[in-house]
Amino acid sequence: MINSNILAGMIGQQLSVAGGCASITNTTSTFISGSGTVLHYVPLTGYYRYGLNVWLMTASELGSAKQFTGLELSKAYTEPSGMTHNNQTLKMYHTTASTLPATINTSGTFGSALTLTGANAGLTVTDETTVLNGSFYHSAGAGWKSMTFGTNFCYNGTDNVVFMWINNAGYYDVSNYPYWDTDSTSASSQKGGSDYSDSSGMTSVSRSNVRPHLKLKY
Amino acid sequence: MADFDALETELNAKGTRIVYMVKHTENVVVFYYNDIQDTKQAMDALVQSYLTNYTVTSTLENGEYKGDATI
Repeated sequence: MINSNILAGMIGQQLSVAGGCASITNTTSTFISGSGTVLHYVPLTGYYRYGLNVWLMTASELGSAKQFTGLELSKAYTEPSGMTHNNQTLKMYHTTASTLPATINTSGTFGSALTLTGANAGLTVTDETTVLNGSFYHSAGAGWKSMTFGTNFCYNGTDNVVFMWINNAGYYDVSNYPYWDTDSTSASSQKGGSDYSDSSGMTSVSRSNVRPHLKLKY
Repeated sequence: MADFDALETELNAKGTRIVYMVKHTENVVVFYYNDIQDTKQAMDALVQSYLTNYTVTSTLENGEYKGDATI
């Protein structure tokens, strides 16, 4: 019997849905879009060399099982030129936690090896999937900026999902860097966390009430 | 109405300017100075006093005060 739900993009990721992953529907939907502050560091900065961002989305926000193939971020302003952020890693996880702990710890070396797995007693995560390990380019203009995942994330339709974005000195220009639209409504309460530095990567972030505006492709 | 020039003058007196920029139709103020002797709290208070409705985020590492204010 041929299982048409198992597609090429699923190679290398853990599957949590019995019988395989949801089919790709070629849909792009907005999942986070509430009122908030324009920020340079959520979910990635070019004004500082290093950054770490974590955010949680609930099953009620995400809906039924999906195979996530990419995302879009909302760039708030037009900048002098487009930018390529190298050394970016984005990981996604399933979790039963409904909020993030006050301090979100990581383990491993800062960069692509950094992980949330087993790092927090109050945030048990499973099915770690590295959806991006490389570069993210966005053009100069304001608006939604798209990324296609290198490995898709098989969302099980039941649990919540945690995102961890690692910016390992990939792009730095204090005169030309992006600003992103963020949400700080009650929907994002205790569901965000970020930090940034010029001197080194970080091993933990403090919880905040901020998440990036986000579209997901599935 | 924020007095961006007065803030710039105050910051210039605190250290050596690397970047001071008001951009995106005054929705963003970018500041980056080194040789800062004051504490981060004092510098943030100074910036906030001129940009009362803005959200100020910053770091102060090794005498470098760097951040922005957005509204």
